[in-house]
Amino acid sequence: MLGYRELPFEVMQTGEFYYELLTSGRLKIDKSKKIKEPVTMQDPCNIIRRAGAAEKFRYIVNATCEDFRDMKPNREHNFCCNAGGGLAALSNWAAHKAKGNRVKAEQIQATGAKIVITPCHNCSTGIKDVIKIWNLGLKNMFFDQLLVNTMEIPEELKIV
Amino acid sequence: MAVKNAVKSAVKEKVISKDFKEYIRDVNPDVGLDETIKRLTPEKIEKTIKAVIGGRSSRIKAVMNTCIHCGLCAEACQWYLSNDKDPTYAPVAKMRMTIWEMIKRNGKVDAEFIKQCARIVFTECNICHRCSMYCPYGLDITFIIGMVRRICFLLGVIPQRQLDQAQAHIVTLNQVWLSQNDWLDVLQWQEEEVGADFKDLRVPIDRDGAEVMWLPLGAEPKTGTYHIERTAKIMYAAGVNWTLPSKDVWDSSSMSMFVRDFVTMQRIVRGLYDNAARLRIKKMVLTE
Amino acid sequence: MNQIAEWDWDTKEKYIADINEWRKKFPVVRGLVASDDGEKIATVIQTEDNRFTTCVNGDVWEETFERLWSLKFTPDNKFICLTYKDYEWALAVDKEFWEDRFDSAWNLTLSPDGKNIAINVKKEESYGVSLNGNTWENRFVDARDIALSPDGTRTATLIQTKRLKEGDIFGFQEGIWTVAVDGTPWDKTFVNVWGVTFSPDSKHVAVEVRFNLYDYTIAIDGKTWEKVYNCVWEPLFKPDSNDIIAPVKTSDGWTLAINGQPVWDTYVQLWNQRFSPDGRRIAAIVAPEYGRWTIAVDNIPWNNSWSDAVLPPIFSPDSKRVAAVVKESRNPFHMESALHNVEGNNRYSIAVDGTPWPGDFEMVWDPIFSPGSDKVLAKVEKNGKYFIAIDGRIGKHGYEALWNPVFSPDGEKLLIRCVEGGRYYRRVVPIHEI
Repeated sequence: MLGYRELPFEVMQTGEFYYELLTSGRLKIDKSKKIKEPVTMQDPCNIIRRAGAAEKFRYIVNATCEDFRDMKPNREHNFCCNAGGGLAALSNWAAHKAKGNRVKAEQIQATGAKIVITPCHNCSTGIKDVIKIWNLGLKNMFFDQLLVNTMEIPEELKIV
Repeated sequence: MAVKNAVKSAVKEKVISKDFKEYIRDVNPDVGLDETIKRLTPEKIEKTIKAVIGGRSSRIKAVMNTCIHCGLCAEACQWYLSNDKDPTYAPVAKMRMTIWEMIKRNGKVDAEFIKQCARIVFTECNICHRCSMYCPYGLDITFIIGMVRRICFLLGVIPQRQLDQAQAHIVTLNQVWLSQNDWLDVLQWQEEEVGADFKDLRVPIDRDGAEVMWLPLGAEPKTGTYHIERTAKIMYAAGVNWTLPSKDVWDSSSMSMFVRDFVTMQRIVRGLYDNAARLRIKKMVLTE
Repeated sequence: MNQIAEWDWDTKEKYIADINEWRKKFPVVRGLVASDDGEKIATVIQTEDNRFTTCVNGDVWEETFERLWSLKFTPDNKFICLTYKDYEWALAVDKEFWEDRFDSAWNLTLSPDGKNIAINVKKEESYGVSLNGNTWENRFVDARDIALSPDGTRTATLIQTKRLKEGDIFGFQEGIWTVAVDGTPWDKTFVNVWGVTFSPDSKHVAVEVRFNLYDYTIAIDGKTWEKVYNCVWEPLFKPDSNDIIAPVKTSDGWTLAINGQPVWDTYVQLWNQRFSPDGRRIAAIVAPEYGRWTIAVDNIPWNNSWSDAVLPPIFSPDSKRVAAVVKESRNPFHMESALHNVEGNNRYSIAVDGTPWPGDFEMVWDPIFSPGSDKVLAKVEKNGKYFIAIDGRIGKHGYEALWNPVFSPDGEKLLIRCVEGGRYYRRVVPIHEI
């Protein structure tokens, strides 16, 4: 709309950037700290349609979690969290939104996961509402949380 | 596997559309819909609809004529599937009950109709593109929904919390009305918090020539400061030369895009790029 | 600019400070700030007691703070910074504090001669401006952005006139934002105002305004242009006049308007207009077609255009030449190249009067004209090191850190401020030796 065809600067979503940090070896994961509980992941609608993002996100999850279980359907066929498109702001419509996403509750429950990973803030809002309204009893985690819990920090950088 | 229906099924007041009898919903009070329509006049509605549709009525009519009502878009929509296949939640119905009707009536619709349109496009569609993906003719249903959102925006009829965020963007260029000094204060405070545990851990503001400019979601400095803390730790462990801008725009979210406030949308994107150019960074990393 | 003539242009090299030594001496050393004349280098260090202070050429300030930022040298070589301790911000000029203290202080702004300092402040839960330590008595619900007049005597900021209850969508649409100049708000309020700027004679103030959810125009001293537009970008006063030019969007596209009257052709995009020093010519960034960027001078676009970006135009001192940073993507018409980390994706160069320098760099800073307008140089980055490039030719030396070089008044020499081997040097080098 501004007149750009090319992006004037390289733009990445945090998940794509974390993927780059992991594959380039700049960020190392301590395998003993990997999350052991079964996890699943919400594919964010807008980012996942970007080439390769779905696989990059799975790479991050597999690098930090031992038991990843995909929802069905997944990747670009996944269902929205119902907070996309600006609906995340509508806290006074939370029940309406979560009720309108029984499909998501069923998808999540079918995986048997204990944690839903959300790579995007909107997704987190939507998934938390679904978990709450449908009494799924799961936790929700972000990529940054997964990485901070499992990454190696060189000893010399720590202040004892 | 069926999920136990835990939604409280208290008897709720229903609203039945006067234009489409099959459209029945729970009453969900929202001043952004209920009060704003009182300011509308038939002239203003007609003028706005015509301004937005403008030269594109043939494109919309082409969608109307091409659609064979096969229902594949409905099966693609989680709203339809989750609401026991209520046909009024089908993407095709969301077009039929809004912009198609506006075209049929040549923009002569009333305020109550606009309210219903706003409810449909702002609370029953996530613009997730799944329906467009499954449409055998590849009809761009989300583009149409976006046009209806634009009409509602120009008429000021938007659920209160969405409009409030969009208005926050208009002035502050962030979604949470954060003052400029509060943004800076949060970053400095977070640096003190995480800095206590690690040697020279930074939340660096305006670092010229950094590799990465990191742009959070507006809510992070307001209610999710732990995201800034975690990001600082990740950048630190990975040895990334990163920065955050001191100046607007730093919020990577855009309710302006969702309500189709084109000017604010452009100011946000331009502001992000201006910061990238000013700080001579190599790449932008966005949380949204 | 008389100050530059007074600098030391004879001493070839001054070894000012050993930054590596600082790093050994103090637990933490954060960022470096060089003075314009290159004689001083400042940083923030952490002291033993986990507080922070400044270090200028090795001179450590005995006062310590919880936070320090906006470190700056003024053109007349005073060292200023914003300091914070015991919940109070204070501005320090050469270790002397302004008397007033603030809950918040930001947007540190200097007049062109550096003799006047303005900041946005929050004090007693209200917002305003402090100029040279004189804080506005009139303060407001919120303040964003600051403008300091060219003569350094007047200040303006964007203010919120009324407090809004959370979620008050109607109150907002009544318009609760305006401009306050020297503490006095304009009578008229708007849904939004932004892009505040002073006239060259320091007497007038202009902004972009938004009336409602869809109409925009420019306002000067509280009076709006008669015409409204679909969108406007930042206004700019013409030198030695009160005429205002601003990009405006009409149904045909973007054009440049003077005092509300469109005077240029229309473009897909148009912004960052600049006047030549003599005030006779206007250059601006334009997109003559979708996805192509260039500079237009007096409504005539350069013959060359670029795919990614063109940064704001810079006029030569004689007003005859224009230079700008340009960026071309490796793979034109292919979005993926920008989305993925393609090696060599950052391809920057400088274009002068439409002709780009041969080759490209990982990064290029703003071009600088020589006093005689005949040469153009820029700080550039290649393989992670910083170089000086003149008229497209890259210099021999790569530095760990480099500040923008300065031409000597006769244009024969360059002042180079750089870090090499962990040491900060001030050098004066003849142009032909670069």
